[in-house]
Amino acid sequence: MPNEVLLRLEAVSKRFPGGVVGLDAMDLEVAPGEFLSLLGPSGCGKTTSLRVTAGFETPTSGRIFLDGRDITALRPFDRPVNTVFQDYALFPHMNVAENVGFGLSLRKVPAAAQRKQVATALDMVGLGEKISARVAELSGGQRQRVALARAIVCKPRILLLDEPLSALDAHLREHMQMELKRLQSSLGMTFVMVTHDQTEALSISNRIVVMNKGRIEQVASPALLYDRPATKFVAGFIGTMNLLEARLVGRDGATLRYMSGDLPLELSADQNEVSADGRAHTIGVRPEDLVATPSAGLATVPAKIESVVFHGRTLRMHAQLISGAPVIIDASRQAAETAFDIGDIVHVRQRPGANSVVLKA
Amino acid sequence: MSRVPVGIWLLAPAVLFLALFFVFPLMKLVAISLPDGSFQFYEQIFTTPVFLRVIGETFRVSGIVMLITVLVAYPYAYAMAQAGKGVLLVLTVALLIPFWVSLLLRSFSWIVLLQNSGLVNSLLLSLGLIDKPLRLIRTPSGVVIGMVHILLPYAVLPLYTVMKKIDLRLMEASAICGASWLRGFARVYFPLSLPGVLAACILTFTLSLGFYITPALLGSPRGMMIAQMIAGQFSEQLNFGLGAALAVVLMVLTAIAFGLFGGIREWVRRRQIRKEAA
Repeated sequence: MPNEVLLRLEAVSKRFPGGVVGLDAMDLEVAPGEFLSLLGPSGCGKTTSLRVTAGFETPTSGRIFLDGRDITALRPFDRPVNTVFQDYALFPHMNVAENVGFGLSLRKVPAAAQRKQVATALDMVGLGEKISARVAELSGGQRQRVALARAIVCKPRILLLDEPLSALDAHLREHMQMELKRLQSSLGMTFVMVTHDQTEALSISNRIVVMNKGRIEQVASPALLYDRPATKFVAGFIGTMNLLEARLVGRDGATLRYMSGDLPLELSADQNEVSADGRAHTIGVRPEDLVATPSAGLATVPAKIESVVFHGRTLRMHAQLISGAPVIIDASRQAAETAFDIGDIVHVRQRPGANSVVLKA
Repeated sequence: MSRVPVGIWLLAPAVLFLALFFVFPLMKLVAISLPDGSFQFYEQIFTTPVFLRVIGETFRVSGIVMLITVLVAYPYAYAMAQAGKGVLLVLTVALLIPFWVSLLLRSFSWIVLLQNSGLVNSLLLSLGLIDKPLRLIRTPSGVVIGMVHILLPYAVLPLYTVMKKIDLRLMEASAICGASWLRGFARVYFPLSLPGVLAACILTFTLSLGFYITPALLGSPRGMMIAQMIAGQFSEQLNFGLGAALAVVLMVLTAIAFGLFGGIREWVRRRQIRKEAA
């Protein structure tokens, strides 16, 4: 939990007419100056939480605090919050400068000061030379920048971004991700971004909130989320993860020994809770933590290769263990002994020192 | 050789029909209004106070009707643009059913409603809001009420078409920039709906100029409009030349009004571009 809290959602629920649950008692704290991403599949409540924060939706129950002040009942235009919309929502009848200066003109900022602030905001997003262009003349990426400039010009306490880059092509998106990150740190402003793109969330956020069915599954830094996913859902959503059913069979000091069928798995005891109840647990094993060899050895189980996919530096193999469980194995292309073909029988084991985790349902 | 679009001959029936039943009679009408090439009927129209008064009255009533119709239609169209499926259906049906009923029938219905012993007066009397029946029929206000009702769909539909295309996110965007609903409406929604307002104005105004049955049934002889006068010249006075000249005058004035509105629209568009270039 962050020490200082800028935005706090307290048991915020949103039920839509017809009984659809948008948010289910969501608790969230956002620290000043951080870049937080809300990540999840469509319908998980990430956009609803953004709209509730902006004031476009009223929560069914729960409260929202900004700077310690209860803003639950405030209307959108009374909140010191701004939003960048997915489709930018630029005013088509105004030029770039008028779009960016709209909020300032409502606040009766003197014309000279307005011009200066608009120019500064546009320079900040690298669009200074387009100040008098018409919205219709701009490309998608440029519209995105205008929307950003319009959102930051009034210096909101918090900037909400609703899938801001999803309308851009892949190349431009990567570039804009870095731009967003740079803008956020140079402004020192708090950004809360909604996205369904895990790579986007992992590459630019300080912390990520993984949501599912209106609830928070896990809040953690990108690295922690990748290494220590808490639940099956998070494990499946962030990167690729083999989910193997296993039973605890023993313990050697700091190592927990599990068996998934005939495949032995070792886990670090510091990071995983021990529950020797004999029940099956789901162990998450990353594809790079599985090794396939041509000959059988200690602690290996046979598997049949079903497909081999070229992944740049690695080859991704889909295989079926003798127990019937499907697994995904990433092998380095340099390792010649791992050049397998479809139909080959290989011997699979866990890589020593692997970072595997017990997952909650 | 200039390229001729494929299938242009498909236009032949329509062109033939228009030439035979529209262009030819129109030319005939112009010819009748200029007996032996003399402009006497036009001179008569523009020097006789009664004709000028009727023309002025026609424009005055049309202007009032346009204003009221668009004012009434705007919130109606707004409601339609915001409504869900069910409400939209009800609003559309409520708008279009009267539209399909004959003009004559609707004008007669207004007589029933507006006469001294009609529904409107008896309701107001029983509510104690008035002591004696209001004179609603055979007055300019009766004409305006009837015409507004008849023209409402012509204003609502173009307004609705334009409003439907306005992205509702824009109002959210204006709210998030600090605009209350009213200010967002004034600075974002209304300017974007202006093309619809202009289209509604053009339609209601130009249609009003030629109204005949409704003013004849609901109005007083003193508030006569030009179409009634034209009908009078043809059917009562049997002065075909003067009637034809009046009809041509009406047509030209309507065309001028149409052109003026077009000019306003162009001016608004140009100003927009100039502002952007500045």
